[in-house]
Amino acid sequence: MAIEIEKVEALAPDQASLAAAAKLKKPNLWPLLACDAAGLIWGECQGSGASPYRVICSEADFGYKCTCPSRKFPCKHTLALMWMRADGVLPFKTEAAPAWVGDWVARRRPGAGPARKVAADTEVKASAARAAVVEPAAEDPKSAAAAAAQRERNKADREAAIRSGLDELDTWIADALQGGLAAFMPAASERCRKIARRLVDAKATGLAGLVEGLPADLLALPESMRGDALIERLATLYLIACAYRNQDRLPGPVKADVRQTVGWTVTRDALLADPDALRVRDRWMVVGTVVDVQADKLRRIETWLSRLGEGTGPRFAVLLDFVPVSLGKTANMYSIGEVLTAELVYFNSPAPLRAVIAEQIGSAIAGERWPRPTDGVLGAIARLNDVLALRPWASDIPFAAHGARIVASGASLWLTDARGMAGLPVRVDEDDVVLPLVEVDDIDAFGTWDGHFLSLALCETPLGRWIAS
Amino acid sequence: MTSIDDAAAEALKRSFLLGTTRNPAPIGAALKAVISEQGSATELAALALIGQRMRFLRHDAPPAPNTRSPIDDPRKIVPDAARPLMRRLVAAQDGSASDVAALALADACNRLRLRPHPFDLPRLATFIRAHGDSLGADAAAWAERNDDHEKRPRHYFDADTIDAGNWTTARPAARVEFIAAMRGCEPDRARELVEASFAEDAAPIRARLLDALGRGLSHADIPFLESLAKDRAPTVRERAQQLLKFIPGTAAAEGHIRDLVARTRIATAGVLRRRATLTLELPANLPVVPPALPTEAGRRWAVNEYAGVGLDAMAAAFGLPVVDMIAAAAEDAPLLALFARQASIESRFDVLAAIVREHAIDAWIDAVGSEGGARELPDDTTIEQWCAAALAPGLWPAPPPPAHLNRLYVFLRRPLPLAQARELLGSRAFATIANAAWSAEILGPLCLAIAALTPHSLRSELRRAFTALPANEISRALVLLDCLAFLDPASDQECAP
Repeated sequence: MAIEIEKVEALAPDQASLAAAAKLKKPNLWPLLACDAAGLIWGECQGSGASPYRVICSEADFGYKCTCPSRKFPCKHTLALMWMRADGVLPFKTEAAPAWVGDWVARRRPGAGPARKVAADTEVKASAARAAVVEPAAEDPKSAAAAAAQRERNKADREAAIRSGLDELDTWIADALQGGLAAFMPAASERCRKIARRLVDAKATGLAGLVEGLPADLLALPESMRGDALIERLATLYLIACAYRNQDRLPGPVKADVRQTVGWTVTRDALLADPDALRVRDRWMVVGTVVDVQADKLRRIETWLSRLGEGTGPRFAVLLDFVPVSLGKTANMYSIGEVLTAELVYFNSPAPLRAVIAEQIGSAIAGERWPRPTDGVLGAIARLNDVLALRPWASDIPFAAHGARIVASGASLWLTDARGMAGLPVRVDEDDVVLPLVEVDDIDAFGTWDGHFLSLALCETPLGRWIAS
Repeated sequence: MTSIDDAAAEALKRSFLLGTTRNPAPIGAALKAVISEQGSATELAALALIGQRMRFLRHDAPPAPNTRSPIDDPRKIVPDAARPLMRRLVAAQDGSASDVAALALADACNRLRLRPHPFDLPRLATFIRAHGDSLGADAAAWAERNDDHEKRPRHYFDADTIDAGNWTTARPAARVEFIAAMRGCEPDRARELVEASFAEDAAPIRARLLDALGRGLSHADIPFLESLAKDRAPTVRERAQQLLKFIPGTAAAEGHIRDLVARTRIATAGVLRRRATLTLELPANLPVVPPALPTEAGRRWAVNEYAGVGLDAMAAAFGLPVVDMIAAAAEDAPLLALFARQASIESRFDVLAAIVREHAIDAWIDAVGSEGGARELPDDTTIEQWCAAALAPGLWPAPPPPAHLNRLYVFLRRPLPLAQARELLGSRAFATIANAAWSAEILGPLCLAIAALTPHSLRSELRRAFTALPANEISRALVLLDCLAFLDPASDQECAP
């Protein structure tokens, strides 16, 4: 797939990186510019040091690697390499990939999501893990049994710790209720931080994250909505705690979901190895991208996918990638509107949504229209309730409806059906990016519903495509 | 099992918010419909149920939408192919009022009756704010969406539909344009319209309207301008006094000419053939106003100080015919600059051509005057006449500084006529762009200004010429050319000379 300038712009973590990359588009700075038939391009860029930086990029999935110490991803060298390729002005010699390019290709995980490729150390660990699988060491049965027993003990200890943490959470919520939630809110940050620490100690890291993010989520809402929102969030926390305590009475997918929500992780390798995991091979369109910094100093990169095929199964998926904030700015590798053919494997859930790419076939391509959703606004709202019924602690739920309108009411915007009988409030930002949709009829809209506002990500309209970012 | 009723839910919520210690939660009453064993229900269970109930009930009917009059923008939306190029050219911080690329883009949209795609408005925020007047009613309304209600114009409508009946309700820029245009054909009527609504406008708008009256001044304007001596805004008072200086016969004008003559040294030169010479004495500490170079400060000062005094009035004061007056000032750049500017103001293009071709090839730099006023050249025919008189690119020894070319574009507000553009592309000055070594800081803006000034039919030729230059240094010029090509696929705006 040819790199386009729009893609380079979309990948750039900020405008300054693009400006810096523009200054590197000089042939005298690149003693080596080359490509191969497999869609790899690479080059050496003369920086301020003695040896040039080595830059590699895959045109197939826009994976990249640069040896520079920049904390921005992609760095200016990578952007410049892609840009020069997109310009097509400077020649790229076609030749066999040198060893350092081959090394990078070998370390890449097949079908790995884009953002995961940015952290070199992660790749090294993954590579090491794979090597361990390929060449298993001869294991002593006794020590294997001891290790298994130790793992079971560790698991039992963690279960006990989590249950103890959940008890503390119950007490904490009960205290909040007794003192009054109106009095809770001014001190929410401090109080939430304390219990979040306790939950981390209790190894319920997922739940700790939910608690720690609570004050910021409340502050993001209008003041008039914060009381209700706090009740809902505390109710959800208690519900998760109850569900976890009673997990043995829950159906398999609900049990798996609640365990993940509390903090038990399912590794990518374990998920891919799970024969019972839901797998869907289809064409997927990127309909939303979100980059957010979490309270735990991780950059959370969400890529929302909409299934284009007609088969049964989930219509949407979200790929989650986490990159330490300390690594610097990182952009999402996918752009809204790109279509990829891939097999997704879903994490076990009563309402499957989070997935990983098991295999991507070919490159992502853009230019296709997002198919008209089957539901109108009323039907799409009903589906939100269906998801809530299946997974009561769901936070961001995909919403897709046809024939919608955006109307202004006071200072707020609402997505409604054509007659204005049903609707959801739309989240607006300071740049008013949603405002141009007002009074446009017959909108096919995709967004995520967080329980209070609909964050629109993509709309197909008679005026063309609208995207939020 | 039935649901929790609203009253019970509200009672529970109230208790949770105020604190269950002082306001015990009415759990039994609230949950009797959903939990059979009420005794086992705890506050936490009630919280979970009420919270989940609220999540399901969130999707209520939307409130009544705002009622507002729709903005009728008859312009077509720019072609899809031009949209990414526009975003690349004038998104983020680019696109400000002083950016020639943004100005060229806005002018092209205005000329071709195009408007930006509504979905691009947020991304082109700076551009829309700076050039909303040229981008149609929809963009103008967007640019002012956050303004105080009282500051907003009462209507957004296209410039074509403005007339003497509705002009006071239009946006300020459209009003100024309207008055400036009317001043060209019905000067008294234009003044009367301004006079009738003058007191109702804010000071900045009053000053701009006075600027629009600057063309075609006559004795009939004196009472109105003199009445402004008591205007509450100093800027308006100063502007009115300045205009009075330009009306021959007024005391202000007479004083102004006396001042010019007092500053000008008149002498004779030559042995066989005696001729008069004029030399303007400049102040000792001239301010340098960018983009003028220090060497141009005297020219800039003379133009700012005395432009507006008629050529004939100056010639009479010096006791010379106009042609001889110009010849007498041949060695004095500030005076030539003043004469070039005044010839431009008076549309005496023969005089302007004589100054440019016989005395100062770069006099066009002074003839374009300062930026920001109402458009001086009212129509394409006048623009072509001005360009034919003032511009002789074939004689330029080197490309003009980019800032001057930018000022030229701001003055013309359209590409060059075909003849001058063709002459420019074939000139020695243009050839040196490719042949000489230029820093990126000069080359980029220079090519950008030339791209803005090049008419549609020569853009492909210009693009070919640009291929010899480093693409990364002139990238904005290339994007502008591509963008204009999409906007303007078959322009009929270019008139042959």
